[in-house]
Amino acid sequence: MLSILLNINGRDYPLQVESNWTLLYVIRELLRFTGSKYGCGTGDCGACKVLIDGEAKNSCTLLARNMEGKKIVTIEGVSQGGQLHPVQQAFIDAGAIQCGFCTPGMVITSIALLSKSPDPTEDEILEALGNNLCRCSGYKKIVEAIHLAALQMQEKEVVS
Amino acid sequence: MKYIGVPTPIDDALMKVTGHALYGDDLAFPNALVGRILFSPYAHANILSIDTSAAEALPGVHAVVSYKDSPQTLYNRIHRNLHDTPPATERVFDTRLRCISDAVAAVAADNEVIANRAISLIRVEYEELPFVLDSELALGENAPKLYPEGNLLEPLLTQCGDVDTAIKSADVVYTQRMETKMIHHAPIEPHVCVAYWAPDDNLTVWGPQQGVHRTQIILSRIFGLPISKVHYHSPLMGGAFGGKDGLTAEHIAALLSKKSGRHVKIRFNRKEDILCTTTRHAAKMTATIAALRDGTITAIDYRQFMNVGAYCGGSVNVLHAMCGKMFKVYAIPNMRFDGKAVYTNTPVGGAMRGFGSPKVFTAIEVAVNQLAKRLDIDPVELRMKNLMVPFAPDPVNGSSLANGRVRDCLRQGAELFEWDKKKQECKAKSGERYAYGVGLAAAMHGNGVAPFAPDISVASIAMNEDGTCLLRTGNCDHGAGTYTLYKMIVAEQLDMPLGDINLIHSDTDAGTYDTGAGASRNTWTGGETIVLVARKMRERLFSLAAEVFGVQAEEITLENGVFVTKDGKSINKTELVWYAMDKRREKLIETLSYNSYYNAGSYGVHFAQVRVDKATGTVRVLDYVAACDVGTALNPLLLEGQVEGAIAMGIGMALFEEIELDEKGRGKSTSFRRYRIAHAADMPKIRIHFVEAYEEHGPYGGKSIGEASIVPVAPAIINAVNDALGTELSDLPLLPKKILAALQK
Repeated sequence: MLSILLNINGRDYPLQVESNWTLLYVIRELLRFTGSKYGCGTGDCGACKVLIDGEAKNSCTLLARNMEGKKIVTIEGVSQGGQLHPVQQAFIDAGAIQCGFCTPGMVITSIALLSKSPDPTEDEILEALGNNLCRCSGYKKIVEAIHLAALQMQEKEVVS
Repeated sequence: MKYIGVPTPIDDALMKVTGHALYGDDLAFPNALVGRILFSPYAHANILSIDTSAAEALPGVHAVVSYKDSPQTLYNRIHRNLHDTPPATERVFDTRLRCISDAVAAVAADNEVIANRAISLIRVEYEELPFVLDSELALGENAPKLYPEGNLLEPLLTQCGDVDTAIKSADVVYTQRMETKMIHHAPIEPHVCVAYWAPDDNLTVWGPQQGVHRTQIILSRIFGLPISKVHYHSPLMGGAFGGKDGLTAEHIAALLSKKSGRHVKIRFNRKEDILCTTTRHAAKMTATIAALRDGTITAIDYRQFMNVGAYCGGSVNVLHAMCGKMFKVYAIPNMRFDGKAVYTNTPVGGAMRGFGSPKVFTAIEVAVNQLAKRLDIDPVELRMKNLMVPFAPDPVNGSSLANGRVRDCLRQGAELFEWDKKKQECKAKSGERYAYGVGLAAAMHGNGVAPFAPDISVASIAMNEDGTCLLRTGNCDHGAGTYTLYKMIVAEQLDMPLGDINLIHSDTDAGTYDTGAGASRNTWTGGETIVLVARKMRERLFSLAAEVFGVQAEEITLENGVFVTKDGKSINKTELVWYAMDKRREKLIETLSYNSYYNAGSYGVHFAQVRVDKATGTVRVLDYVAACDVGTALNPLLLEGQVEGAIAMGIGMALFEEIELDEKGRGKSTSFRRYRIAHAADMPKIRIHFVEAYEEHGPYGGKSIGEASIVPVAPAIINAVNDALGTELSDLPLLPKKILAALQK
């Protein structure tokens, strides 16, 4: 067992982990943040994505012991003070959610994209979603939700 | 209407988008163990001996089970009602292994790492047996037999008219050979279940499950428990598409729990989910189609070998269902379905979105386009000349085909797609590198299991003391929005916001009885059940209000959730609930058991435009129109979501999805990297058109869409590729190498 300190959703967690435990295993099974989903275990579906220093990464293929000193945000840490993130609201409004199993990973990917590219083109969105699978929606309403979120975040910017 | 027809997001969207929605894998149990299964390394083998002592001795291992511990009950994994007698050839553990999805042994341990280590310590001596992977070869005289009685599970011959004579006297006859492959359901949530066998022999299972009552019965049979001691709770479901109906690993978790005395969770990894659950059946098909010079189609002769895999599961039902559908789209006097369901040593075929329809209509619709080419008639016109009309009799059994609007879908869809213009454009645009083409396909799927089996849903509504209500259903929402629809129906009937309705579902203890969430029953049968029970409560509330005011119920109206008399007196639901309690000493509850005796068709005509790169053999779907016969668009937002998702799944079926086995029947498709499903960038521009023509016996005239909408996708795309290249490609999926090979011919 190794002693490590992980910063997740703005809080430090001292943890005892085995050297081969993945970040997904630690956040789901040890810390019980179950919003990040296990869909494939091979980094192909994106259901387990979390933000690591602002980048969307598959937590199922990262080792927990390598995550010290990084700012990790899971889906549970996305909404602040009871207020939904604009991306979350847009996913609801656009009808981008069906079974919902891919949704946390989709939201994480969208947030990472919009922080880098506030007004993404269609191609940028499709490229960003290249590592997120959804079997229910056909992706159309997910892409619409990202456009909608971009619009709303820009309007908010203008107002403030 | 206030709620029905209004685009409404899925009602638990907030929980899902914040990560707080709990799925099967998210449920926590005290001291739960992790279960893992050792699957067969061979397509066909006998277990000669098994030594689990090293695994049992490993610290942290609490139970190891194999055939030595297994009940010997033979079962069928989708057995529905207790008195049914589906072919039952499976055991929890058997010494005979008939495919790579067969379980050899299983362990329960403190965590996954220990469980995997324990699995690797199990020593098994196998005797390899000859195997067969192809459904046609499996019927050969010298083919290895899976069962003493042979490999033919079910032959089915159904016909109308005189097919042979019609073919002989036709002007043009075209024969289409086609092959479709095993396909993975690929919900992003893999299979998961938790079982607990309590000391008092009550067995409880938690896990995503389309058929909680069916699986309760199967478990009760296997373990010899009364149904009253088996409890099944299905939480939210992370997608199913037919793959979570019946038994997967629940029986193994139960056995491990019985032996360890602890809760045991089994969650499949993706490799197991692809190879060790069920698949869409592979099929080899031949469709012969005959016509007169003027475009009158005179006969369709369809033959197929359907690959069942090693166990029956739902294959007999799939065979019969696809046969029934074949006769319902075209008004052709002579048609024959000659299909055989055949056992092989491959993973097991089962229910998947469309339940056989995608196979039969892919073969026929590709043949129709090839026929059109030979007749030199536009494929839209050819279909218009031959499609069924609403309320026509089914040519086999004479029952009404109901308000099927396939002609409206064709006409309106072609207009929206601008078929004629696009067809010309494609010809003009095609050049040295890129070829453009258009295609279409017409098809249908059913609504429910009537008239072949009981098609029962039960629902109850109880009014709470503050005027809100508790709605109990037995149906299970795959993730498509069924519960949202049920709440919309109650909201419409009782004039209350969706947020005032608490819905309990798919739970053998707390929910109501249900035939199961398959066969496109959720909207059609389940939805109508909710209409009827909500109407009963509505009438009850009206009659109570009338009693309070001493008037006739007809003199009362429901306005903004309040019951109002003609002279302006009013009473709300809370006051009515209290009136019933105080004055009548009654709790307001209504329960209703409904059986659907009707099975309307949900039709659709889809149009696709593709671009084929002749240098690489890759296909890009550019533009897509889906015209869908939905009766009434009950929730347009989620209807669109269903159709868009179906198009993604159909693109996969047409272009790249295939569970690959090696020459020894072992799985090559072991991850999403080796089993590709559609990504966001694979999607075309999509326009969806709903043809709304009230369908009697459906809720508010609505009917199913989820299954129906995948059926025309693959043939529309294949037709477009063949149009672009002038080919007769029909071996699915249309991988680049197959396209390049066809171009070299």
